[in-house]
Amino acid sequence: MIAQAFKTASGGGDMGVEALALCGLSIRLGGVQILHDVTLNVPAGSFTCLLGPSGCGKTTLLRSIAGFAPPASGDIRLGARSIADLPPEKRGTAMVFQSYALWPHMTVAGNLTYPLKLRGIGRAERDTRAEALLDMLGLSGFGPRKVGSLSGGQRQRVALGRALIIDPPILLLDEPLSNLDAAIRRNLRGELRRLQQRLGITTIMVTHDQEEALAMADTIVLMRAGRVVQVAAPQDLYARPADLDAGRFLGVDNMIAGRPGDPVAAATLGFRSMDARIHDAAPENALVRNGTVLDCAYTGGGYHLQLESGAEVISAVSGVPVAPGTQVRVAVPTASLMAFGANQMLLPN
Amino acid sequence: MPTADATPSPLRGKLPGLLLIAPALLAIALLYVVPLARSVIFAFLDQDGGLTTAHLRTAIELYGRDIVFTVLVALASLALISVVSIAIAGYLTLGATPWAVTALRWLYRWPLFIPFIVAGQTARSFLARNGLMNSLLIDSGLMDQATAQSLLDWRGLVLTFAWKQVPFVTLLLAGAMASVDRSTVEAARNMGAGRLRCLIEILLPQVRGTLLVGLILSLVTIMSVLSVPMMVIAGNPTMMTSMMAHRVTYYGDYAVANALGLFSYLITAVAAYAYLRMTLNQHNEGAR
Ligand SMILES: Nc1ncnc2c1ncn2[C@@H]1O[C@H](COP(=O)(O)OP(=O)(O)O)[C@@H](O)[C@H]1O
Ligand SMILES: [Mg+2]
Repeated sequence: MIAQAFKTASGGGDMGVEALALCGLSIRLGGVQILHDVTLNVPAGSFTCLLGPSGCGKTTLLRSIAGFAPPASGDIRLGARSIADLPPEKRGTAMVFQSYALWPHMTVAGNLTYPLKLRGIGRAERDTRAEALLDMLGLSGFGPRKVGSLSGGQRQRVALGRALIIDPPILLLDEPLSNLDAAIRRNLRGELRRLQQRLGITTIMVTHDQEEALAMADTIVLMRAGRVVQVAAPQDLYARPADLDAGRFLGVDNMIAGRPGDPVAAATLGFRSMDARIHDAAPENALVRNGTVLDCAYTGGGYHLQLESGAEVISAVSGVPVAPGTQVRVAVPTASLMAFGANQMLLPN
Repeated sequence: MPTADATPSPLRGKLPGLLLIAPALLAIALLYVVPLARSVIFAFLDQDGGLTTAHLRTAIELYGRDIVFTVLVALASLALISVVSIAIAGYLTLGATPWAVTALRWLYRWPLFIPFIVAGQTARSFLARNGLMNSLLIDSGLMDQATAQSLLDWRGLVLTFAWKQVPFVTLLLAGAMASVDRSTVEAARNMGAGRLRCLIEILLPQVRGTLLVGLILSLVTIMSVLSVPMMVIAGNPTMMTSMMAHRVTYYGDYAVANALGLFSYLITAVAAYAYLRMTLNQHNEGAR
């Protein structure tokens, strides 16, 4: 119902929702190759997260879609047409900048309605739409305020509203939540996701926070050093990262050498410490290692252990405290294991 | 036993400080305040030392046209300075052709280093009826010999003042524009604004204080320069500076010259007031 109100408030979707395709996109900035041959399909109406460590080229990729980083080679297609040669103002992509980039010399309502003014929409209608949008964003009555007087979360909403008011075919978000407090961030995460689903708008969001990406995305695009490493649904990415580095980035904190008797044959076995538990008797269908407890730390719900097992250190969890120096047996269910080959790539199962 | 000396007088405590700034205060008083006050006072004194408005009336009667002319020339110059410096600073900030931006950055500054008197002289030989500009236009076939006219009137003044002051205002403006958050411009382009709209609706409002400072300083310069009107304009009406110099050098009439000076103060004071009001408004807005 709110989505309906919004649709009418923002003029009823004359652009429509469109798919985005990047074909062999390379970007050079200041003589340095930032993106290498990126190919990516973003289905219409989906929520895609670009995930990767800081400096891997996520913002550059987003900026190239918006038209601020000219491609050295490759094509960008929105729906059926190529937009790679259009200037930013002709692309119709709506971007929310990491710094929000609100116009400080305009009021909140001025910020929201300026895109409509650029489209030649009359004052009365601009005001009505801004009003409806402010209601939707939970900012009723904030119209005449200066943007300088808003809190971070409020600015973020205004920036989002400014992008949505033109009813764009695609929404680009550059770390929209990273400047906010943890609590607000968690709230807005759900809010943003629900809003995107209501409007059904094709959305690409940049983040370096894997938890955020897992919680929000339909599809996650994992990037590293200017390349796409893996494109997968959150569950798949979490359970089957493409290689050792991807696994480490996604919180696989144990990477140990495989041994002959292990349930899965692999050069390296990866698993998360929360899947590694202390057992008295070795269970079926599990990877088992023996070790000496080095350290035991309370983490709220339980205890986090560091074990020395041969030359390797294993992280594991336990419901009860274990004294350092104790000999223990740690087991990981086969289903939680990730098997990597000698070339560091995930082995097919 | 406490004595009177034990409690230092307030003046004694401040004395070293006063001594430190005394030379500066003295210099300001002798070089600025006294001559300024003297010239204002002398504009209202008659020969016997009584108060009079006769000089003021003479000034208006004889030079009313020049005062109006001065104001109009100053306003036209400021308008031209604004348009050209906004265009240059805007191109320096938003330009998409790197070599053109670099070339412009090197070129636009050089009038800064040319004295007004040389600028006036150059303008004279450039803008006269058979000056360089008309010769070029006629030789290139863009203009007919018969329609050639001299620009050595108010237009010559406006062009010369603008030529000399545009680099200065551009320098200030381009610096201010460079420090504006770049993403605000990108956000506008992303929302569909072309470069020109970005310049006028996004960049300019964020640097209008700097533009105003540049224009006010230019106004004061225009009100003070004597060499340009002397060089460029022959007859009447002319700038007030020229008339003041004339009054002093030919008639030794300091009183009327001072009365004319009073009008200069008034004009620049209006500009200063506008500037102060604007900065105070901005300050209050920022504090709110
Ligand atoms: N204008 C530029 N010129 C040269 N190098 C740049 C420019 N912009 C970004 N880079 C470089 O590109 C890399 C990727 O940057 P960015 O896309 O901002 O990464 P991310 O958003 O993933 O943190 C970084 O190494 C950065 O230094
Ligand atoms: Mg970034």
